[in-house]
Amino acid sequence: MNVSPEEARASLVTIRQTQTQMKKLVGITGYFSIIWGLVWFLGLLGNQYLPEQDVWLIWAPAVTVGWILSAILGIHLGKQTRTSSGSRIAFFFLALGGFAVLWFVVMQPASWKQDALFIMTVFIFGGMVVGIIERALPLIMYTLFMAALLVIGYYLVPVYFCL
Amino acid sequence: MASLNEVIHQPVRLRIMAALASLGKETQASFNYLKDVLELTDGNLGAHLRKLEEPGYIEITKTFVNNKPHTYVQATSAGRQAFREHVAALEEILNGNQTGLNGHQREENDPHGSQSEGSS
Repeated sequence: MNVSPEEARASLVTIRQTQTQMKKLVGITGYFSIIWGLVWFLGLLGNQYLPEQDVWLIWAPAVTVGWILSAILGIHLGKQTRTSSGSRIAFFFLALGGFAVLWFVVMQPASWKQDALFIMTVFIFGGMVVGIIERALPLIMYTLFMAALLVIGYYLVPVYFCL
Repeated sequence: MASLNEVIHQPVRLRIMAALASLGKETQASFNYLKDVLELTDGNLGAHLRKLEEPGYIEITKTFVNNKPHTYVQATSAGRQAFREHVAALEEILNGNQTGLNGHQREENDPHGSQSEGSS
């Protein structure tokens, strides 16, 4: 099979263009990070500056809106791609959520900061496992970084923990 | 040295493999999404997918969602490997051409040089 250098160059350009188009799809998954980043930003701002009894006024609507937007985005993405490990990931998060609730009841965290640390580390652990299942190194690195930041924040700068 | 893959080199199939190889290993693209991204007709895409399925480069899964048929396509490990080798071969041709161009330019400057090399 003979391919001229010009044909080789044209083929490589085609490959790059196609992969750039596909990356735009993959980039849509970044909207999940934006949605939940905003939810957590607003919630943690509330944790930091609102009285403890009023914190739920921020978290409840923010998380509800976050779930609705995630569902809409998920349905849209599901029409384009799906992962063969999707059901396994869903089952894992159900099991993780149940485990977390059980431990929350057993441990009875002493303060809201411990509540926040526990909930956030559970979700971050979940994200890390998804990264391992999907072999997504960026997700693994991101969740490791967030876990380190959380622990450092909790122990070294507790006054600014929620920020 | 990597070798070109005749099955993958066809322009439409090259774009299909490029698209599928850019997705995660566990990720499947829907037939309709591939059709939209690659701007192909149903028949055209279907024919090329069958060509890629024969040597085991892709896996086609047909399911029903709300009683509607859905088709998903995924690159196999063999397909990803074959695609990588094909890209490497293309790059070798391109890099080889840069050396070849220098040689060709030398011949242009000294048209008799190639004849004397040929005669020896």
